[in-house]
Amino acid sequence: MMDPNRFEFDRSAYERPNNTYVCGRGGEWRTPCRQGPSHDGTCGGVAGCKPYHNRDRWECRRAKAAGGPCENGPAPDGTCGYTQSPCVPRRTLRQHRWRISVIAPGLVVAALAAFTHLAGDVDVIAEIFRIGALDAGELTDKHAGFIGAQGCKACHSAHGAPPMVWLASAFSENDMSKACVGCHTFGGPVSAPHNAIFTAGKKVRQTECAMCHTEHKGHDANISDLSDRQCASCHEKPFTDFGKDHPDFSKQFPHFRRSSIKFSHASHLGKHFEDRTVAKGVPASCTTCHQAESAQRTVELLGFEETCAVCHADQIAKRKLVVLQLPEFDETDIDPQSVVELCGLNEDVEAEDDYESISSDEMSDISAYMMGLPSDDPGEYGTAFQELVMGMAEDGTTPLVEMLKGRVATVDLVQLLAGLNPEVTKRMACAWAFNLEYELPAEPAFGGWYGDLLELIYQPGGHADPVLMGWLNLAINAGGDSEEALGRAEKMRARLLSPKDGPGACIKCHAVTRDAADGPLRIEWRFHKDETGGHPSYSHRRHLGLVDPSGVKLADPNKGCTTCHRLDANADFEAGFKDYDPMTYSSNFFSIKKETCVQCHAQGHVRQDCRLCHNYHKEPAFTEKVTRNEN
Amino acid sequence: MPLEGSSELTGYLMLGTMIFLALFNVRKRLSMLVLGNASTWLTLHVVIGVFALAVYWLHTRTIWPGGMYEKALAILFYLTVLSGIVGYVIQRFYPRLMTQTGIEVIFERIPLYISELRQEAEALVLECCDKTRVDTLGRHYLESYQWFFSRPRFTFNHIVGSQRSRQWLKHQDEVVRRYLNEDERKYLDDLSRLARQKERIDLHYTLQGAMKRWLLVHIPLAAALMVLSFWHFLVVNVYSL
Repeated sequence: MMDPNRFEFDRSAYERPNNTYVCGRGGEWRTPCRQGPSHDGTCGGVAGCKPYHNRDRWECRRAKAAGGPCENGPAPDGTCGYTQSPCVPRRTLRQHRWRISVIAPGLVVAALAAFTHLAGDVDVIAEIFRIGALDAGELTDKHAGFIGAQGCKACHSAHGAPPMVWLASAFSENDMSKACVGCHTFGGPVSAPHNAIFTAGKKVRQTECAMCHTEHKGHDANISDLSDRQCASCHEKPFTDFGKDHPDFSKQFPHFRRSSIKFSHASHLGKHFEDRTVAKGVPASCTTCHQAESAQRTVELLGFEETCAVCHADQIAKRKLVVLQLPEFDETDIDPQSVVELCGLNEDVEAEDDYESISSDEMSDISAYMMGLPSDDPGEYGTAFQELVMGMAEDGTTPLVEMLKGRVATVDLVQLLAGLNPEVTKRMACAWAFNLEYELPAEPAFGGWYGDLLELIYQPGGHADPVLMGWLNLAINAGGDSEEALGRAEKMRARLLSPKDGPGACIKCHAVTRDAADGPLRIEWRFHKDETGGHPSYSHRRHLGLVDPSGVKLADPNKGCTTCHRLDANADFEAGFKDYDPMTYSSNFFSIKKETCVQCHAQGHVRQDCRLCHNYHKEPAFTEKVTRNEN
Repeated sequence: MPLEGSSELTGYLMLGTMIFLALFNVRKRLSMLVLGNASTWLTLHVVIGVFALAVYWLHTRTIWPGGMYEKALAILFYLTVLSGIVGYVIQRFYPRLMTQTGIEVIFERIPLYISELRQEAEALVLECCDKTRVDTLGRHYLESYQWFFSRPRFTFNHIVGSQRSRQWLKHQDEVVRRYLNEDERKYLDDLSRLARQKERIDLHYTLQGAMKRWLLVHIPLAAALMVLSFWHFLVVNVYSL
């Protein structure tokens, strides 16, 4: 085998490993024949050679390497004289490799073809094949619960389409964000960064939900969790250190919007709480009024009864609402005998020869608005008001309800006249019809509706009185279809909202707000949870535990809430409530500086990643479809 | 670059990488064309193969994906890479082991050599019996050497680099030598020489066979992977891009 001449042509065969077959004898570790197998896989070594016919003689042509011409030589008919039994040739290694290399991808193609072709015939089978050919992984539980019978098609419009349409969609854009907004809503365009409309010329690229939220990562995957790297894919300014790389907070931070309650911390802390006469009502600390224990971003207030009532509760009952006031009449059209019959009196009354009205006042602004008549001309309102009085004497509250129906489309009548007793109205109207003052049997100690002399009065029972809230809501957006009607509405509003007397005292604390430039006014009866700005994940509760674990001390300026919220005694807090725009506002507190946060949120200390404070989306919410969930 | 864009980028990079790796096989089939040295191609195939593993993890951002067909894709990819690494190790170390035998053998001729050695050994044993008139060596041949000469033996031991075949041969020599006379021992010496020659050929057969047969795994896996990768490329374009 180490003979250097062993490869010479007459000593060895020429190996052809790329042939399809090799000699079967070699495969059985016997001596392979020199001729080797035929191309069709049959044995080529049955004969030792193929004799040559030369001048009527057959000559042996066995190769020298195989031993040269054999002794027997060819038979007379030209067949080889050296024959042996045939072998079964075997495929070469290369041939096996080729076959397996074709079979393996062929199996993959066959499997995919079967999966996709059979999908759709039977639901169970379709599901199995869908998983086999197309399943990119489990959906999150939240999404899996909503796709329902639609399956993949809920998000992928091409799914289930005819083959050519399916294939063609590979060459067109597939924006899955359209499917996302079927359930999710935002406070701006879905394809705009941060759902915000940026100023013209600012270079921002369109976004798609799938850029950040990648589904099919498992049923418990958190696909809403984003990394700083994802933020940095658009925000090109490198951000590695909050203290160095983050821009300074805005001048308003975090007081972007005024509160719903006009509570001046400066005047209360600096003036009222110093008054010894109200010492029992002074809160011990910020958390006496603010619910810090459970607060996240917004620190909500305890209710009126737990906070303001100790000083201000008594003031509410004094604020009476005069709904009707008997005005002066030039003359009377009321028939006394009719009044006697309506009011059920057992005496005859004769008409006065020389009529003199018991009232010397003009019609009140509220009455004028409700009746739609000028308040200063007895000649115009006299007859109408007297008819109202006679109606009240006959039917109690019914004429009042009929009168209000045309005026208060937006306010619930039941709320406006809740608790008004027809008997009270009737007795008062009878007295007025006789041109007399109605004498109240006893002082009203418990609030509610009552008549007193020439007035129909409502006395609030306490804070958040629904009747008073109803009348103020009516007043705040009262309007009219003519200049005169608008004038009367304006006077009525001024009267009701006047902080000097009457129910207008509510407005001393509750802000009046117009949310949109051309929108209606509204009184902020409830605490406003400020979700503007981009820091909804801030937790007051966690931070309060850090700044002073022993408790938030109001008196100590260096501890507790005052660590961050420092009082600005010179701020023009009141000015922010003079207009109806909640965003034009001067807070009682200085803005918080970045340096305050950097004390802890720095490298080597606590977290400082973007998502700790910022949320990507603007006003994320769900459509009705999600809450309905018909699946 | 948005992350969604980076997935797209790594996806195309992955596809390009795999196509380049597959071209290595094409290059071997088109040896008539001047397409660079085979050794350069092999080096690039190995380096880019390792690079493909990194690109794969960058693309999927996970070691084990979630979906059924993506799992199949991952299995095919990992098996292809693993078989490639095994093949590379084989190609690096087995030639050295074969050189240590001191002989060169064409793989396709090994059946012939084994046959020739067997015939030579049998002739030698027959001659011994005939001339010495003693059949001790003949019976020993039938009980042990005949099994050894019939086909390649100790395949697994050669693959793992074990010396068990040599120990077996030495044992067969020693176990019979004490019963042989002087003349027979000369025949035994020749028979042992043939057996050692056969043992070296067995080593060549095993190692060369391994160097060829690992491709029976690597290439079909790579072909199946290519098909499934194109399916993935199509599905991604239909469903998400």
